[in-house]
Formats: sequence, structure tokens, C-alpha cells
Amino acid sequence: MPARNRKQWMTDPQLPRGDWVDSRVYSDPEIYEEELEKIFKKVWIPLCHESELPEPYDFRTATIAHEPVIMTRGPDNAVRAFLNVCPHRGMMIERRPSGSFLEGQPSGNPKRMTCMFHAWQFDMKGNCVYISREKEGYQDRICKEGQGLRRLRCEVGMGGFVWVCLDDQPEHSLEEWAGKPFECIREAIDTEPLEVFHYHKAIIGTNYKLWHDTNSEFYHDYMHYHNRVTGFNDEYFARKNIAFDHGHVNVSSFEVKYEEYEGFESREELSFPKFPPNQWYMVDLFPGMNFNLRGSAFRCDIVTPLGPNEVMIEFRGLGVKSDTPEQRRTRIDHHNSIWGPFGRNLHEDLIGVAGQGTAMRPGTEPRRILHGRHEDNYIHDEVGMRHYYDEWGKWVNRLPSDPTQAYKSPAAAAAE
Amino acid sequence: MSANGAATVEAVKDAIYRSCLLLDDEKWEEWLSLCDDGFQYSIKAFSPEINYDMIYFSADRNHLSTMTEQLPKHNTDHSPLKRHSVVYTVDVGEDGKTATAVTSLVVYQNMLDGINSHLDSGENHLFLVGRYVDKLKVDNGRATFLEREVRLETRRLDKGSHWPI
Amino acid sequence: MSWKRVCSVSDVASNSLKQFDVDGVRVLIANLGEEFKAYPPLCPHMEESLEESGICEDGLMTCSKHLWQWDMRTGEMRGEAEKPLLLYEVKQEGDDVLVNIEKELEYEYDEETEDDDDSFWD
Repeated sequence: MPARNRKQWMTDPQLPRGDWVDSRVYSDPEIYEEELEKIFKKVWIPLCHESELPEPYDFRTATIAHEPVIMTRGPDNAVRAFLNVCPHRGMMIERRPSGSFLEGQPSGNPKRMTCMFHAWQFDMKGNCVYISREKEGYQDRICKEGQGLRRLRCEVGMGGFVWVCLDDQPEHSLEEWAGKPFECIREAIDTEPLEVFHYHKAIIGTNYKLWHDTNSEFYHDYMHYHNRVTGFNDEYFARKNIAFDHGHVNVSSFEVKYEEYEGFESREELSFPKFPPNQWYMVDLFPGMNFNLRGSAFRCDIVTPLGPNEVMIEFRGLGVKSDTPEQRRTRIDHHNSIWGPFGRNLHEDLIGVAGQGTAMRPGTEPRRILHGRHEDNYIHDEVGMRHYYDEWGKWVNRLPSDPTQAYKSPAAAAAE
Repeated sequence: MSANGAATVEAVKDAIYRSCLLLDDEKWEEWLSLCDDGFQYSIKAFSPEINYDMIYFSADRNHLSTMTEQLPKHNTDHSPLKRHSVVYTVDVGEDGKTATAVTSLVVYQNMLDGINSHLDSGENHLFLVGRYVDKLKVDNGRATFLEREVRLETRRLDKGSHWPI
Repeated sequence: MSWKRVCSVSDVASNSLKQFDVDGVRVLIANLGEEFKAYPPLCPHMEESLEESGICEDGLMTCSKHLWQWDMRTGEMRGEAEKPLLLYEVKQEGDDVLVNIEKELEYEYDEETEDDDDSFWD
């Protein structure tokens, strides 16, 4: 059928309900706030990597949902996380992205976090260690022993990432949550300490899930010239999507033949510990984190939703801490050629999702977004998205193909 | 400075400003013809976030040539990038034949197809802030680029770019 | 007795503080005009560097972070201070300032807090 009139356009496709989602899941402001409350404040979020705060008294700041978070490394070398909020009058304690508390701040002393406003100080474990003129103003009614910081669940793992959960009683430990999807690359990233060598960010006018969808499917390789000329062969199609509990997905390995692409040398030599060279694995974690280990380059991207139609994506590239300068340089070059901000693919992926965001602004009509490719879970199958939105539907109790309805499983929906 | 020194400085500035005009107009081959065969190009930035001096991109002349030739095969944002630059300093080597220059660089993106062309085409955005740190050789009053480091302050790169900066 | 040469008289201007490292021991030298004094380098309150944050005037030292003050000649507490300053013995020999450093003087700061409790999240 050629072009369609409104009635034809708005008719639901003759597909099972899990094979499409309603565009309002990407554009509705109420759904966005629900996602922050019901998902982002409940799950493990990888905020940074341990190499970004390597020494005792180092810190790193970030946010989850609307809340500012600070991570500190104590003199005992442990990493802890807190709300980056002073218990006095709610000021953000530390404004810089990273640094060290070894030197005192202008209003405070070495080895302590100081809220510049009234010089209240906290140690790396979140104890309040100083309230200026405490007795004079508070007598015995408020004392520093009762004014510690709000501490948050924090674990370092899966290749040295620092994971924080705003829920004191997360439903799953980090290992239960992410252990299985990471299994395929666990040895490669846990054997030796890693180090971040690349960081940049993008703020794009689109929903965070649209970015994650692009990480969840490879059908969009059609937009990348070099993928088309080098990759669409038998080996390419021999990759499969594997679904895990909690909405996570893996894409399994195949051997990448870089030398077929003009301008690249083979990457066979350099890899990660215990990881065969030229292997490739991708880990997509619900609700929006991607870890991608491809031969010599390990990258990840993490979303921070800013609005129904706005997302910050942080891009990192990692190597092994003990890399020689030559090895590190090789990793950096390989990383940049594809995923650098001036490299091949990333620019195109971002154009794609930005274009989706443009066409799905709050207030646009509800449209059907097709996730209907079925190819026995092979590489162009869209099972990654179907699996994600089925999980999503349970968290927010909405049916992805009609978010005005309560969640029902695909089987229950089919039965109707 | 000697008369020769002044002429060298002028040749260097001329090359730098010409490179800006050519890059602005996406005349990649002509830009590369200002560069030595052994030209080394890189885009770097220091990240306070990860406390690391990063290389965002690096290439030699051949790689740049291949890359720019293949541009029509790539999906790219076509919003023109225009530079505003001022050569801050030129230091001429003792032999008078090489020079290092530091140029302040601001790159604006003139929106075309970036987001929603109906709404935002014609608008200008600040895209990148940084410096060109260039090494050139000067022969017979003509300066050729040996090395260019695009030293960025910017780490929020949004969609990034397929184009040399 | 372990007298060590720390600096020369002209190294520390009148009414000012300067920190020196003497065989691994850091010492803060003050020039009070008519005499020199020597102290441990940090404030007894919360380890602030007195060379950076100390202000001297007329024999009174103030740590500018929380305004603790001391008589510089005796180390006695003044104003907000809750602990006295410790002093090293000092003598001048010609142009040299010598300090008797038999043992490094150190303040007791608040102890490291206890380790995390498994029941913290209950």
C-alpha cells in the first residue's frame, strides 16, 4: 500500500503487541518523571570508573534522577557515595566534577569535604566532623554527631566501575543485577585494573531510550558506510542477541576483519587480558548503559535523562592501566576511529536518535515505533528492544504499545 | 626582528588564515595542499573529569585525505562550521626556517539540518573553543604545515563532526 | 640536644611565617621582630597549614580558618582556640636560626572513625 490516510496510519499493525511501542513512551512528560522515580532511583547506576578517583581523598561528582551524588575514596582506599547535599541548608557540598580533598578548601581544612557556605565539614566516610560555632548556636539541640551525610549504596565492580543505588534496599545486589550479562567479558575486564583514557559528553534532544535502542540493535548498520562494505558477510550474520533477566541483552562475538576497510590496519595484536584478539562483545544494561569490548578497545556509554526529550550521554574509552605508551596509543587510535567524537560511527548514530527525538516531541501524536524484526535472534533481529520494553513495562506498570493501559505480558496481550 | 623574520611571521600567519578559510568552505584537498607530506594532525583536550590529557582524533596526511574523500559516502550533519581565529604568537626557529604558532580558535555551527531545519536553520551555535598549535616550515616566503594540534577546551561535543576542525 | 640549622635570619621577614623541611621534619618558623619562634607546621585544630592560613600581628597568631588564636611567645590559647600551640626551642647564632629537634612535635587529631557496620543499611 502506498501512502496512508489518517485512519490507515493510526490503525494498529497486525502484529503482536510486543512488536511495537507507542511513541508516547518516548515523549510523555509524566512517563519521564515516573521513570526517574520508579527505575533510576531503584537500580544500580554506573556513575564513573574507579580510575577517575584513584587516590585516597579523591572525589567525583555526578547525578542520578534529580539528585546530586558525590563519591569519595577514603584513607582506607574504599569508595563511598553520598548525596552531595549539606544537611544544614541543602547546598551542594562539592561543585567540581573531580579532584582531591587532600588540600583544604578555602573555607575548610585538608582531608575533609567542606561546605563553603557555613564551613561545615565532613570526612570521607560521611561523618560530620565540624560545625562552626556549634555550641554557641545549637547548644545541645543539634550536634555534629547527628549531622552526617546521607550515604548511598555503592559498589565497585564489573571492570572497576563505580555503581551507586539510591535505594537503600535494592532488590538485587550488583552481582545479581549485572553479573550474568557481564559474564562474557568479565575475565577480560576484571583481571587487571583498567583506566579511562577517553571522556566526552553529548546532550541530545531525544529520549534516553532512543539512544539505548540504537545500542540494542544493529539493523542501523545500514547507516554506516564502513559497516556495509566490511561487515555484512556470513560472520557478521552469525552474531546473536541473548536476553537476560532484568531487561539486559548481550550481542555475541564474531571475528572483526578490520583490514577490509581501507585505511585501517589489522587489530589482531592488542586485546584485553584473557580475551582473544579480534573478538567482540556488547553488553546492554537496562535502563540505558552500554559496554562494548571490541578487540583492543573497550568503551561504554551511560545515559542521564534530563527530560522526556533530552538526554546526556557520557562516552568513555578504557584501556588497561599497565598499558605501555605504545599500547595505550594503539587503543586510543582504534577507539577514536569508530567511537571518537570525530570518528566514523558515533556522529551518525547521534544524528539518527536526534532525528527521532525531533519527530517525537511532547505533543506529537502517538505513533507506532516498530520493533518487529524476527530473525531467530540473529544480528538484525529486534529482540533487544522487545526484551527491554517488556521489562520497562513491568517497572512503570504500563503497556509499551499503549501506555494508557496497565502492563500485561506479551502472552496475556496476545490472548486478548 | 630582522626583515626576514618579519616576512616569515607573515608567511606563517597567511598560511594559518588561509587554512581557516579553506576549512570553513570545506575545501579539504586545498587545505591539505597547504600541508607537508608528513603532516601530523591531532585534536586533543584535557579532561578535568577523568584527569587525563586526551587525544580525540589523530591522523596523518594520507588518512585525512582518505577520510575527506569518503565524506560523500557518510551520513553527516551539513551545518557549516565557521571559524573565528586570531594568531596570538609566532615563534620563529633559530634557523629562520621553521616556526611555531598559537592561534585562538572559536568554531561556530551554522544550523542547517542539525535538529529541525524548519525551526533552527539559520541559527548559530558556539560549537568548539580552543587553539591551533601549529608547526610550520617556511621556504621562499611560503609556509607549509608540519603539524597541527587542535587543542580543545570543549568536552561537550554533542554530535561531534565528520569534518576536520 | 639536637640543634639543627633551619634557615638564615633573612629568610623569614618580620611578622611572618615560613615553613622549612629539616631532615624530613617540617618546622614553621616565625619572626616576631625581636626573636624567632618555631612550631609544628599545622594548626592543632584540623591540620590546616599555618604557613598558608596563619596571620601574625604583634605576637598574636590567628589561624584564618576558624579563628583560633595563640600568644606566639608562649603558645598559650587566646580567643577561640581550644588547644595550645607546641613550641620547639630556638636559638640564633649569627645569621643562622637553629631549632632543637630531638623528637618531632605532633598534635593529636581526632581519630579515624570506626569501620563500616554490616548493619548500616538496616
